[in-house]
Amino acid sequence: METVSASLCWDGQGRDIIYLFREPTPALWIADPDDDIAEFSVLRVLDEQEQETGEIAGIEIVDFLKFNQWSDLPDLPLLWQAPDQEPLPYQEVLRRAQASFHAPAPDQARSA
Amino acid sequence: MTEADELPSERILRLAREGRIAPEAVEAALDFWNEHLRSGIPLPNGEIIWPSLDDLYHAIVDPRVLRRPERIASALLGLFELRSTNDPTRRLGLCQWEESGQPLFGKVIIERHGGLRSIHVIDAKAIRKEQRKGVILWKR
Repeated sequence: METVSASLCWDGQGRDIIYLFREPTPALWIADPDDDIAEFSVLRVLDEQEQETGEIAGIEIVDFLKFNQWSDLPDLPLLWQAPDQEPLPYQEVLRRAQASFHAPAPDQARSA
Repeated sequence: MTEADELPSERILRLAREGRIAPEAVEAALDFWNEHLRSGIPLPNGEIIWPSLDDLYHAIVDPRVLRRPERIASALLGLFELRSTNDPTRRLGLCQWEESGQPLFGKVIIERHGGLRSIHVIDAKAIRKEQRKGVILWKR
């Protein structure tokens, strides 16, 4: 299975929308919402004529901190390698990110 | 957050440094926000949305918004349906407008306090998918 370099983009619990992007991210993509999971979209690559190429640019999840439908997510034919991680299915990359976002910061943990 | 994460603004500025998006496009989006968005956009249902600078950076993560930031205003002005989400403080808006005689579609997530949580330029197929979720709160 192909492995792609990946990056995560998330601006905190206020907006709580996460992107997992393949890197380098293709220049043009469109958010394709899932048929059943309201919070989940696949970002599909477009060519300059704005036609889908079949490639995947990334993933978006809204209400990420509360998301728990991991077993319902569709499988994708890619492994994603985020910084300091081994290649993983996107579901695992995002589960680990969610766990890290929920964990207290080191200074908060020391004072707890 | 972890060291591996980027804020939308950090991603946009990184992509500009790497030459993968045009710095002029980012400047144009910031100018458009300053001149046309920060003072508020009236929705067809009577509400007003005030996109913050953070909202703008999140919006232009979508390259089809970055290329034409005026689509943020076009989408909001072209709102035709509001639907419920799993969070009662946020609503999904479905939008349609025209460019060069062709219909374009968008989806927005708007906050009760008037923020713009998210915007994407999408296609008619995606609009139909979104219309199968939640319940209608308002229709033009």
